[in-house]
Amino acid sequence: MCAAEASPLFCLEGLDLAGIPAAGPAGVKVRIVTGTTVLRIMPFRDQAAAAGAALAPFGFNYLPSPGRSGVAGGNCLAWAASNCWHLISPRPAPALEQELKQSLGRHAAVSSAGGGMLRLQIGGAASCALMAKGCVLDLDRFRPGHSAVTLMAHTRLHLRRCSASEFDLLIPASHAASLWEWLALSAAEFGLAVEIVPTTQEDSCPVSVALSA
Amino acid sequence: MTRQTHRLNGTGRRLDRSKPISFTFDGKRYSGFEGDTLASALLANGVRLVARSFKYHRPRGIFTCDPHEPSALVQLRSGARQEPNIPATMVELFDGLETASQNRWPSLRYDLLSVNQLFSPFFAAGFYYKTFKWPAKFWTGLYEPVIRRAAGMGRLSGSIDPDTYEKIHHHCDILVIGGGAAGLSAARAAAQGGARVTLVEEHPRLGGFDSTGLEQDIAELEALENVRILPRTMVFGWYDNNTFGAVEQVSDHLPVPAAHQPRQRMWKIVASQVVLATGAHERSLVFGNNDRPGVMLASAAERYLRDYGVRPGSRAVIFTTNDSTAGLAKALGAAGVTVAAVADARNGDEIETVHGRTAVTGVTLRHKDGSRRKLDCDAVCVSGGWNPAVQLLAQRGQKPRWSDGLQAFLPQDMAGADFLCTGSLAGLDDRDDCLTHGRMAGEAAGKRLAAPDSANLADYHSYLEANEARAANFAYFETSAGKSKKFIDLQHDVTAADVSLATREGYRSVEHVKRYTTLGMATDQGKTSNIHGIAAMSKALDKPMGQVGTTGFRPPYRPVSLGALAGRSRGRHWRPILRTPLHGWVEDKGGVFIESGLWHRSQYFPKPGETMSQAISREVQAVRSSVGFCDVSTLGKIDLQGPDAPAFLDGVYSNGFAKLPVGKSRYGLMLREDGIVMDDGTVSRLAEDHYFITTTSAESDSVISHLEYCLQVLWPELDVVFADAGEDWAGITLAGPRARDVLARIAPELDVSNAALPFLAARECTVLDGVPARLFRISFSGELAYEIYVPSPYGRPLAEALEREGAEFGITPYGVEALDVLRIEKGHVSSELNKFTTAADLGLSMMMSAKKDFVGRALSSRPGLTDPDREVVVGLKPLDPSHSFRQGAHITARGAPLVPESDDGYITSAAWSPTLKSHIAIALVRRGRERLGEVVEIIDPLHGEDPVPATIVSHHFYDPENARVRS
Repeated sequence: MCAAEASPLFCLEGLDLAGIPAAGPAGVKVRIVTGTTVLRIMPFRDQAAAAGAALAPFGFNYLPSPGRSGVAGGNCLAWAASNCWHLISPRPAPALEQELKQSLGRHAAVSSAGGGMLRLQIGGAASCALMAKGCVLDLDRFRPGHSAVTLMAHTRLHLRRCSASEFDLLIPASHAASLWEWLALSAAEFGLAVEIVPTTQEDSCPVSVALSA
Repeated sequence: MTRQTHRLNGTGRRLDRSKPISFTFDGKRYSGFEGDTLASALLANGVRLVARSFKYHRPRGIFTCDPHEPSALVQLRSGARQEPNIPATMVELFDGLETASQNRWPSLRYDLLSVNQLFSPFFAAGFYYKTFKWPAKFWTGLYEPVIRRAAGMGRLSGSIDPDTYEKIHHHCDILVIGGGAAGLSAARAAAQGGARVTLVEEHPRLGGFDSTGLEQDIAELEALENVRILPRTMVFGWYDNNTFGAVEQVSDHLPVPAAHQPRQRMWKIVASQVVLATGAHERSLVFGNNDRPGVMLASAAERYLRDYGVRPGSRAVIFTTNDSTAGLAKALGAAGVTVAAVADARNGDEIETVHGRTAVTGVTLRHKDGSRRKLDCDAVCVSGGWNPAVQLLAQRGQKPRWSDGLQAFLPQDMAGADFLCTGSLAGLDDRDDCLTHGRMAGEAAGKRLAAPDSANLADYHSYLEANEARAANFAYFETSAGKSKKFIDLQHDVTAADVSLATREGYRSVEHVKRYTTLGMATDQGKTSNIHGIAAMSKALDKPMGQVGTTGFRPPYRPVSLGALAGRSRGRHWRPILRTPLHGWVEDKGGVFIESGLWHRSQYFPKPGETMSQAISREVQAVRSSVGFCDVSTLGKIDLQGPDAPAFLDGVYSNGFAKLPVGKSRYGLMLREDGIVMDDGTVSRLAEDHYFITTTSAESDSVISHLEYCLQVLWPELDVVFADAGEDWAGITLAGPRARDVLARIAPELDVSNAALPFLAARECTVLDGVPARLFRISFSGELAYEIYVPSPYGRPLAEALEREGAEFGITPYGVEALDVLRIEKGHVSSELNKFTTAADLGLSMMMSAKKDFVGRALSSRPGLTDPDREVVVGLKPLDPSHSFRQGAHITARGAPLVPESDDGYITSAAWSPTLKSHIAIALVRRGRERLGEVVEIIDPLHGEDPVPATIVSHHFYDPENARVRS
């Protein structure tokens, strides 16, 4: 036996990832980020505050309030559902998961979600125009640092806004192909540039917004 | 190409005369200019006859200059882009446009079906209901097709629309609907307060009926960064929470959409405040032959003159009831059109009838003193006043109120918590009034954003009240004398006589009259005409207009194409396609996919030359004799953690879980509150407070919802958390007598012996030299089997490793068809969990714990659910093994008559068993367990097949002792 290698883009197999040329610079730039670790943090009853405090080794002192996210030490901590937060990190999953479990102890459950998510970062001058085609949120009110689990093109996904023109999406792998086809069709009028990149410290969407308690 | 005989020199400010355009109508080539509509270009070319009416096939021309044109419906383009029933008045001309008239044969001028006019005395309201009653078999076979053909409209191409449509979401602080003077003023005032303003206008340009003098306002508005203007966009619906549906005609004015551009775009607009400046629709008047080509609304004639440089004729008669036509006579004169007469109903004058057949040739005027005068003319311009466009407000449940002063139906409320009305909609007809009040509305909407109650609407309301108090409008709803047809609804050929007949026959509600006569039911929804129907009812019933009221208005305001409603959800994108982590691998292996809910699952893996049934049998035999593997990633997966997890599971499942040891799996049965089985699956205890749950593929979402309900509502005191882990793990079932051998190769560190890894063992381990995995010795096939779960990105590597490491044993991938055959042979229930069955029905009574409470326990003992006469799960084997039967076939006792009372149940699962060399089935049969050994008949009337005799047997066809799963 030899160690197996994961298929990082398994959910997009067979799809055209070349992008769509435009007359000028592509209005929509999509980065497919591979290798990101996503861990769910689910505090036990009455343990949310303690769980937040236990995240100090990861740069966080509390869990962001609903609809918010924050960045520290290359990691992103984002509200993802009722009593559930996503720790999004470039660090490998097994080690990070163990470390997180140790830090949280009996305060919160941890489960790994990264394997089943496709991470896309959508930017470019027309990113908002593209997002509006699928996303029901008011993008003028959904500001950098905001986090939502919402529907986009029939798909329930985790959406964060990183900057005025950048969005970070975690898409269930099973829906990824369907959403990608929608995205490519919808972005075509703006021109679509696609880049496949491994996750890094820098891509956790630096957001200069303080966490709101 | 014809000359533009009716085109004026120098006028027509919407035209670019440097850009001539060529187009065809009914195959004949015409010319126009950029900026023309099809209607203006046809008029410019002297084309009067453009359509035939719906029922009587009467000649029709162009009646309005608006999208709610009732008469001039045409067919656009050809081939797959062919589009019927489009008002010529809203078609922006482009070079090469192909158009055609519709609902005529063999030609527009000589339409044989115009013979219908001769039978018009018989075609009165309700004719169809009274006439085509017998025999019933003719309803759909003869009457309907013939009537539809005779009274049809345009035709679709039958080809797939090559264009695309899309949807977009938009949020704004203030939505202004209508880009006339009032709307412009409101938008500008609202924007100056800093609000995000969106202005929607259904026409290509802003300015309303007459944009003269508004150029500066429009330019300033367009320059504001916080204003978004959506021209060519029609708001068709007003829904809850101030959500509006609108359709933007992105490319309808182009021969083909630009690259990557949709044909139309549907906007879902959410606004905090809305200013309705939807304007008003000019009314027609009812007189003899008021539908002849050449009869036109006065405002339309004025706009064709001013905006398109087109004169409606050479000699015109104006028939009016109001001052809005004051400038028309002068404008006509300036264009060289002789105004033969102005019949002002306020003075007692009226047009009695129009002369001419395919075009107006003259009119007979009837004066106040009763005298009549015949005049030659080729154009008749009519104005019966104005109807405020209350349709959107009425969609919100408002009942328009009748204003005696304005002689019109106005909004019931001019302002609500989230809307304001202005402009002609609010009864204003003066440009300055519209600008002034529009500004008030815009400012008030802006203030409401900051604080809902901060806007003082006293001036806003008093302005409208004063206007209404001043008004002494004149409305003319009389119907002229004479025998000629006098149409109320031009599009549906509803006459004044039809409405009168309806009231004589006892119809009292305007809604009923509408449906009986079809008044206002066409695509224009009676925007120019309904008021006359209401007036006719008022007169016939001797009830005031306000008491007769208007009909209800529902979305859409105007017809919306199905393409716009579908957006990108068409073809294979009509719903999301879900793919498992092994999808690409299955494709590479030539697997055939089947849609199972939203999932695309591997159905079977044919070898060259194999039929589907051959492939399935081979896959089944491979599992029974050696080893196979199957993608089960679609199963629901739930990660459950917490100190109270055992108690939670005990409450959720009918069988016990508190004593499930760490490292073991257990089959679990979940009931609904009403005692019916909801789902089944497995629960594996990974640690003291950590469980991994699987559900059926179909019910994973509903099980998650059910667990949320249980935790939040039933047992909020329990300290548990859970997550939907369905996407996290790829799952593969490894099954067959050699499964252990293959497992040993992919997990060499694991002791896979029967002693170390017995039936129902659960392990967290690694496979493929370090890949974290969850391994459960669970069998759905009845063979030695394992379910292996790895993080989704490792699904394909795991499949490849199984294929490689199992090659020595002839490992065979199998799809859901073989999976189903295997479980039917084994007698596992699956499709038998059909929302009607209980645990007892399914033969799972032993899973109903008597030692604890659980969801569904109380109601599962209801008499109806414990009736011994219930249908219960059994097996069926045909007397002749080659005789097949299908899922859904019914069971009767032998010799029983084929009547519903003989129905003893139905087949829930059926398959050819390559193992038993026989067709077999699982069925729900009344008192089935008491009837083992009885020969019954399988009947399938739906497929017209002969009854098949079969024996009721245990549904555990294969290895009933369960020895193989434990081997």
